[in-house]
Amino acid sequence: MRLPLEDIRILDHTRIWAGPQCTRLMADMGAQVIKIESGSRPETNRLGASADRKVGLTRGGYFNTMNRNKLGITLDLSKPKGVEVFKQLVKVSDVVVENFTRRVLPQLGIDYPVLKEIKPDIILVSISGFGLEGPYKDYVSAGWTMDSMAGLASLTGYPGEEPLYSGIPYGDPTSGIFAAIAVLIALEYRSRTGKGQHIDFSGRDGISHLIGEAIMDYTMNQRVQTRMGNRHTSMAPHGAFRCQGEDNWVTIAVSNDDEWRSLCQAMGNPAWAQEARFSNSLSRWQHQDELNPLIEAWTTQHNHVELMHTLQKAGVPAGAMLDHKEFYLDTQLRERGFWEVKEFHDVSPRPYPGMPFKLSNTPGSIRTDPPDLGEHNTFVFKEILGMPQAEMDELDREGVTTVPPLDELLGRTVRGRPRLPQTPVEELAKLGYVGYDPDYLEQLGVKPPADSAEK
Amino acid sequence: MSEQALSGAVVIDLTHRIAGPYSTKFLADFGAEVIKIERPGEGDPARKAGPFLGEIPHPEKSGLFLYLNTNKEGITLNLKTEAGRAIFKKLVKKADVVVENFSPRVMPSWGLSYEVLAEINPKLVMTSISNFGQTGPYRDYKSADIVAYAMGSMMSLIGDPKREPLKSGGSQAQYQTGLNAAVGTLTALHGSRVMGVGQHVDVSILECVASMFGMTGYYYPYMGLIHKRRYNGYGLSHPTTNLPCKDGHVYVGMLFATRDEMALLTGNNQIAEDPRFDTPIGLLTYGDEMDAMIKEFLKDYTADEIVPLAQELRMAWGPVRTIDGLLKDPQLQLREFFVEIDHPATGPVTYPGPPFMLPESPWQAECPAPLLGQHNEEIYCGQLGYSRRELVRLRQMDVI
Repeated sequence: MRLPLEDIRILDHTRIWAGPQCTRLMADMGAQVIKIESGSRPETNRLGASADRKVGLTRGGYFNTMNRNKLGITLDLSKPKGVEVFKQLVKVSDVVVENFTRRVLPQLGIDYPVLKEIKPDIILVSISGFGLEGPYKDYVSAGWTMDSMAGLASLTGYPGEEPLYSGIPYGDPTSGIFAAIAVLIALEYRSRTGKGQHIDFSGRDGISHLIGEAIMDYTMNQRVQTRMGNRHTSMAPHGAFRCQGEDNWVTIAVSNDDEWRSLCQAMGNPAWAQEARFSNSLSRWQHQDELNPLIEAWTTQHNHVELMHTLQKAGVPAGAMLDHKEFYLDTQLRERGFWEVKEFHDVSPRPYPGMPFKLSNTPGSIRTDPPDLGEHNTFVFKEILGMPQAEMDELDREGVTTVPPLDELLGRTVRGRPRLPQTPVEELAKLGYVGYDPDYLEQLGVKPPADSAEK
Repeated sequence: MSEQALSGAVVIDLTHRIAGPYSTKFLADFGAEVIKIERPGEGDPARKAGPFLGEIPHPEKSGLFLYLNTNKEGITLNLKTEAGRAIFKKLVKKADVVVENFSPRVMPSWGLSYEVLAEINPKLVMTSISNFGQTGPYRDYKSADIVAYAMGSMMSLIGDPKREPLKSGGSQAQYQTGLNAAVGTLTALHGSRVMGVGQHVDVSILECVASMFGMTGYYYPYMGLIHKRRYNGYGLSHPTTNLPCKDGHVYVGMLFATRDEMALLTGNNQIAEDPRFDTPIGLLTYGDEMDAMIKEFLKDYTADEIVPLAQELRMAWGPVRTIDGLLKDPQLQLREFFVEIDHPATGPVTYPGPPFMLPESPWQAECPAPLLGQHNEEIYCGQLGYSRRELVRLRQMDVI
């Protein structure tokens, strides 16, 4: 089936998360994405969260999720011939996405003015923490740095306590989505005017864009909003309430009297719920410190998932806090086909997140495995660039496209530390930092038959 | 109006509150003609949500509404009436995109399902944003930002493991959905232009939140680990946390750096030499002691004093900006992130402006968010050919 972005070719010179998230969204929707790695320094993600704790270049969960549907080539851009091939690829591409520090492209001799000369309508997207100019232009940035500097952390946390980051390196996936929007907008402009451009996207700016009303509260009223835990400016009860078990919670968000009455009914109309202090929205909001423990005394007697369904059936907005195992098993996500179960290379079938939006005529899916290192060199160089075999052999001989043996890659150290600290699963579980199910494949329902456990 | 990236595209915007309006804001801010339809009388419920200018509730002075609806045209239309639906279909005929975020039963109940609209306009892109999606067993469940955050598993990552898990500040589930819906809409619009087929884009807030997980989310299907929230770290890395300094907080992380550099910066060799910090398990067990050493050091520095020193050593530290601090941030000033927009009810107010720099087709604040029904005459008379007399009648009939 045809896909909406099939006519777009993207040169993907990105690593880790933000850049790969951007190109993944477009690859999922049909763009031909050519991911460039250095043979001698492949993406570190290939080696993280290794399937079944066996390390290999195609066994990293993080890498595999971010890079499905892409082609992979190796190209050493520190060598002039590597740069030459890169330029040939630019000539036949629509978009170049990069998330290196701002010095890298000029150093390699492939900054925007150069690319524009090769391909006048090229769209170059530079994804960075803070932007290409200005006092912070050379700052290194992680997803958490952006979160903190954008103002979001100042709004996240328990009242009166430390500002917290948003659970993940929030700036990374967020940047990827913003950058995809920017590319799609630039493509529309190009389609009418024939003009490309250099997009300068700063992840921190993106996150600040996601707290617009807090910024407006300051510019209009000089009020500095800050952390309020799970409280809401008008709803009450509004929070996470403890349920049966160790760390199980149900969230409840009541916005009007009807929902409050439904909640009371679900709780069996206890006498306290009839008291005047809880009789209307404002009063409940004013007395939520007293209200919340009374509700929690009830929720602790129930299972969090069952309670969610009970409350929802009664008309109360409620949701169980699902952990990183439970959301793989959630009925709605499963029945909607959000998780796609796929077998990649030497990794047996696992669930992967599918499309965050479903297009009725061109739904998109995980079509191809994330590329092994240099897997598509021949296809890209021969079929797309029309390169003669002799030239390809020469590039390989000169180390421009060479893929070193796995042992050599794995044996390397980074600043004196082994590159691959093994995840100490059992010890972590013993310390209580993680939960651990040795039978996770059965739990997920993806256990392969015994005789085909390893291909 | 000047030529912009999306000039010429026509979007009928039936959205309200946050997720929908945020997605169409991208279209409007980059030049599409976005006609926002509000119900007569009350309009978008975001008009009733604060913050309000001067803290006095007023439908034209909601900061939330004003921020999310820049550059849109506003009309009122009552889709509960037959006449209203007929007018809506006329608008759909000339539109490229319809975006709506009613609960999934609503549009079909008005006879305005995608199938019906596609018959009127086969190249139409219709984007439907809902809490749990257009299908599935939770389709009719109610939600809120906190509910989506919990069910999408993001909440399991935030807060003290011994206490109540937390949602992020603001309305991140809604905003993330707005971002994804913009990608979905623009992708489908591209497909419509290139391949000539329209389609229905189904965006679920739950799925947008569930899409956000990173490394920790692969631990389960790949290794059987269930990641739990940590107050001051992520996965196996430590520290990754905001620590107090002389005038606020600093983000302190070790990514891109080693303990040697941390020891060099803080002048505390124990950070580099203490063998207890050598392994991930050691760091998790004794990390608080390392944090205490860093805190002791940070006491004497303001955030803006210490961050450049850490950055010199290639450590990805940053000042934790409070909201007022953002307005004074020199980088945001240089990027002209904040823009002043004049509006008839509020006067000039400073807004967050461009989310990214597209130099050839830049973000523009052509006009502020519409007053309720501001463009009725322009759209109904100017574009659809109704006379002013008919407009009066439609108003009397409670259609507009």
